[in-house]
Amino acid sequence: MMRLRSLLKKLKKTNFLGTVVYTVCSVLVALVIGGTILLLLGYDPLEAYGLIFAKAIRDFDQVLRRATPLLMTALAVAVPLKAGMFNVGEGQIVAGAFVGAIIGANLSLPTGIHAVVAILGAMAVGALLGLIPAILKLKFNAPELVVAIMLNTVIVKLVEYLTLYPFRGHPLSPQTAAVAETAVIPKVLPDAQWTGSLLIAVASCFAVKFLMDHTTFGLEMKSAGLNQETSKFLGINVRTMAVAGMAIGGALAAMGGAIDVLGGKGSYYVGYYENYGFDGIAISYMANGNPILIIVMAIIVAAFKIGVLTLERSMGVSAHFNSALQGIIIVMLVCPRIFVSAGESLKKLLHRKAVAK
Amino acid sequence: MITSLLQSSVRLGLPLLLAALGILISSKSGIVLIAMEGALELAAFFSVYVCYLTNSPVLGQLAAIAVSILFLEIFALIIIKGKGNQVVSGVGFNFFASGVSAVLLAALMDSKNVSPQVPRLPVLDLPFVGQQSSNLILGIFCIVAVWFILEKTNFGLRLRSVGENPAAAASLGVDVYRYQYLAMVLVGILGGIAGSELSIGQMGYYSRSLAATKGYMAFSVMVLGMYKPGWITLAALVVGLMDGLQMRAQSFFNLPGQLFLSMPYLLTIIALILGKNARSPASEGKIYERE
Repeated sequence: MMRLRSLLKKLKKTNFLGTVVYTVCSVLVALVIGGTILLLLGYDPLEAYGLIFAKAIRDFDQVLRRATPLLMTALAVAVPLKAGMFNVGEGQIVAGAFVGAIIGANLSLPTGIHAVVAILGAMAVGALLGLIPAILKLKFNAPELVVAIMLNTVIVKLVEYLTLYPFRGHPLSPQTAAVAETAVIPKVLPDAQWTGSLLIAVASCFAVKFLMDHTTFGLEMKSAGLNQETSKFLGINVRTMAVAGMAIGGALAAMGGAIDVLGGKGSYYVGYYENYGFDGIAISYMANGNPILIIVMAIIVAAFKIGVLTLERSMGVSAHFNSALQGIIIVMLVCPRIFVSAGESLKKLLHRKAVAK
Repeated sequence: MITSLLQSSVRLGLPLLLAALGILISSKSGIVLIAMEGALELAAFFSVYVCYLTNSPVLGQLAAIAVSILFLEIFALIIIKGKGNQVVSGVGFNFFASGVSAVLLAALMDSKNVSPQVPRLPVLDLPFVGQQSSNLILGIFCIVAVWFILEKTNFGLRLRSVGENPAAAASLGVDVYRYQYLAMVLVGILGGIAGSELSIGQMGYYSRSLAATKGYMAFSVMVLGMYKPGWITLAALVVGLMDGLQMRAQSFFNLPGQLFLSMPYLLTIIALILGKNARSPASEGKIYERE
């Protein structure tokens, strides 16, 4: 047992490799539990996982496009978490996509600048939405998760209203008007489904990495999240850092919505971004908040999201199977000691059997 | 007019009340229960499924209670053994519950969104509050029972000591973890009734994501009710009333529903601000480490 414990400690120290090994273990546990559930319900789990894998490889192009907004919602969770706050990008990505679409459709600006203005507008709105749970937490000690979930519903309903009535762009479809040519984020490869938005999202990951690891601001924010007392002693304003982290998180999620609209469908559709914010939570925990690992994990989660769609079509397994797996993965990653406990119980059991013999 | 307002107020208020009482017991034992949402979802599904198999709403409700207890005991096991962040673990459990209910709905009842209609729990026709499910009586009993258990029994006293200062409780010989597991049985019963009220109590069918963040709303209701059963009851009714009002307002002002639908959610955010002075148990959210 000491060995397992020291191994776990070592794993924590070697952050990058440790995160990968640990995440792989958690994903395997989730796949086994998920597979058992499928088996009990009379599906063939190996066939199911095979289908998901095959679909993800076949349509990797589509996976990359799907990963674009997920990269941003994962960053939106990772940054505030460093400052000790919990953000959910679910409402923020919807608001960002909507604001991006509206600015993209209704302003006339030169090519390039138009897209930048639309993204910045979305980020400003997202930052404001991130501030609300942060301020309620600090002023009134309201749990930020509950505030965020309630706020999500309010935002989603409000955006639905705005899209269906004042900003409706199509008489038969619940969507906003198409964005102007000047605001479109172009494709990099003419045949690919993914666009320049993917490159922007990947660049954002590197930017966040730089911000968190190589600037005073980032180090102060991490310090505030790790140890409040020490940080106060060092003269860091812990509360400011928490608020700043949440504002950055909100801005990143909203940016994800905006770049996905400008580089993708070209208008905002009601209900299109359902669950993207929650996927971000899973990805962020799978990557242990490391922006570079987020790139890898976002692709894996996107591959699952694309893969389960085939599962629904060909085997009748609900596509929401994906959420069940994500839930198990999150729990495993948040409670690392569960592995140690399970090992201890197993050892006790084996010991008892040996004694009985 | 008044009756129909009260009727819809109790309709939303009752499941919120039951869930909030459950979250209250959990909080008192030192566990932050975000996972109530998942318990509601699974309970709502299983009550319909068992009712679908047996045609008996009573068996459906019992199944809901059993599933809800099982789910919350696993939650307690994981956070007591794993000692991870309770809020985030709760989110994970909720993901799992929402995903699994959708998978089960497709696999067992061959439906993507809505289950077949099943028999409902008995409906009572009452003065002032109109037609309500038999769970209303159960709910009123639960308010008194929870208050009595927490305030007037040795079990409740020890449970609260576990949530306030587990080290002190342990030094007096209270088995901290055992009390937390026991608390989860009570929470599971309340969550099971709340979940089955949502499906076989009010609708007679299950539709995907039926819980629809009511588990989180119930958390706000508990905070607004200042961690006291009586005030929680009032808080649940007020949030329920807001839902009744929004339905009225929609037809009265002839404005699109989306604007009014968010009213109960806005109220619960305000509830968290108003409840700022309510003191939560001192060791809430931290799992006790045995020496």
